[in-house]
Amino acid sequence: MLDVQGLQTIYLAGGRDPIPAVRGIDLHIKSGSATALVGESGCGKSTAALSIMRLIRRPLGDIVGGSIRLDDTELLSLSQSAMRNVLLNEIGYVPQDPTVALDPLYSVRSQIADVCPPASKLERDERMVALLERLGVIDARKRLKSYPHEFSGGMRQRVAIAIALAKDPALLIADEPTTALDVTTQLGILRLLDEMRRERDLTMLFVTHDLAVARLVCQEVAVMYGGIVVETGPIGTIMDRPLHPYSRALLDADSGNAEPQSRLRAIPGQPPSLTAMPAGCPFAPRCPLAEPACSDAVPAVEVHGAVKVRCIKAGQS
Amino acid sequence: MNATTTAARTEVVLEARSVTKVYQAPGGGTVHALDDVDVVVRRRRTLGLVGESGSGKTTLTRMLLALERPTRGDVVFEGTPLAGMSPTELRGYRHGVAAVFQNPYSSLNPRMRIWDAITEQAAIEKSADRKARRGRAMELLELVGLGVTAADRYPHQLSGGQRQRIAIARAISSEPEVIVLDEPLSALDVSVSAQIVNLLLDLQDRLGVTYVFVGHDLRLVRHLCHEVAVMYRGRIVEQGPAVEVLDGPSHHYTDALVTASSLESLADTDDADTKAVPPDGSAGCHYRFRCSARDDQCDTVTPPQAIVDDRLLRCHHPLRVVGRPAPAA
Repeated sequence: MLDVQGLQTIYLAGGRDPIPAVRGIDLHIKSGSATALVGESGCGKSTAALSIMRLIRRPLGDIVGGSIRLDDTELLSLSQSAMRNVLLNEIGYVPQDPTVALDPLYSVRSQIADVCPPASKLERDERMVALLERLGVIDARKRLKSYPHEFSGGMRQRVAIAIALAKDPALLIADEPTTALDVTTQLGILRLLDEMRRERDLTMLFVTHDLAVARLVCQEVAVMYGGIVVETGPIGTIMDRPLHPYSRALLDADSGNAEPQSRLRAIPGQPPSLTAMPAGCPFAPRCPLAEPACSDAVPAVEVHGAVKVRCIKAGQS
Repeated sequence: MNATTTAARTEVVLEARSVTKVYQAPGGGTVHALDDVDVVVRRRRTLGLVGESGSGKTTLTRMLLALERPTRGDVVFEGTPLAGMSPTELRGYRHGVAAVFQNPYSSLNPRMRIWDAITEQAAIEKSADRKARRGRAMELLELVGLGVTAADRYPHQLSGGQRQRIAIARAISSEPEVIVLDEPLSALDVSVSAQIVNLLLDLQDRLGVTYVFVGHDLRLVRHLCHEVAVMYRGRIVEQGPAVEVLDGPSHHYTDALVTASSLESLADTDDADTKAVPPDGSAGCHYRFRCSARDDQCDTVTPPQAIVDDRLLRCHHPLRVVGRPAPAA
């Protein structure tokens, strides 16, 4: 179970004012359940994921508020070394580009072994082979001796997932794990993550910009924009009937339902810069429904059934 | 529209004729990256190339861009085979084609201002002075929907979508006939990707440019492309009008791709898909180990290209018969 309340993260740039990147977000993910964190680049989704692992640290930045509870542990009150232990034993991380998770100088065996719980060499090898086979790596026993460059992109991502899962974590954070892969490989990886979540009762946070992909592996979604969660709830409900104009715009920009060769409904303008965040609703400058009141303050959370939304015109079109 | 304009509009501008490319594999052996590929690119149209990594789509674009020579077969531009061109003619040809790649950041010199980068070709050829180049740069920036204020910036000062616009501006700077777009949208967010799709459609209308679009998002291919060629292990397995092929695939591989990209739930999939491939250069269908319709014929006989009207298919057991639907009774 992951419970994030009011998380605030800033970046520090020299002597200038701190830059707010995550401005108070709440996330609640039950054990055995997956939540998608969705939004455009610069919305703060990756910063939020890194903050949960307490990887945003001075002098780069700092977590300045809120609470992050993983099962019964408050991560923000842990000492550095206790947090290292949590990262080592409790949290698995799969990055977008598996080459950054893998060290080119070490064989796959030694990289997975690094995070395996203590056991005899033989026992550990057996566990690694079983895990890799489970992840669809053909000839797993032989491939243990291979180096990262000897794998294809899809296989490398499987190895990165094996490293994330070998420690039997409570929480798995995957940051765009399939964006660089072709559709059939993507499907294999998604199926794998989904099975692992069920089998091991994993709590999963899935960071992506693609709602269609998120729908395949997640039960809940949190849509982020300008450092805040603008809408959150069951993913099917939100994709079928988005209440926030930004969620709706994201779904409308998709080419899936458009007439071929027609112009797509792109969202005009650019996401706000972190250094010049508008007062009030961050989406207001691009929003077709915006009115002067939208710029007064960040809209409060409104509850519509299972969905929570921050918009004073929620559900209007 | 009368017959003449229709013919002119669909005139073939670029063509691959029986192109085969064989690479020597490290440690001996060969890799047939392309195996007898025929493909036709029509003027002012967009041809989509789809297939997973290793299918040969990037190798094919390298042949079309004259970056490499085919082992057998030839690329033909406006009726002239590239193999027969003199070095001067070939240089002229390379002006007639341009490319935009997936990651615009890696194709832009970080120390060059934007206006300089998008008119670099004119600078190298000394075909225009500094002032003329700057003027041209402003025109190009306007065309791709960036203000002239972008001219004096450096690549790192721009967002991913803006950089992709710069890459497109640079591609159109030499007024090419054909632009190869190699996964130009894969690194972009949904909303930015929609903006670039609209830009590509606008430029095709205004400049009459022809696109070869390499992509793995079938929804985007269906939206942007007039024709699509589906590649698997060096062969084109199915080709035809994009909407027709993707809405009613005949080849089992096309069908697998379409299914994978239109899923709404993982429960609708099965686990049988392996990536096993037959040895390089052997006879038979390359896709057979992954195919549910496999029989002895698929193991021993390479499926011939069946061409019906504007559709091409290489399969012994197609999911549906290609070609025109039977006239209504």
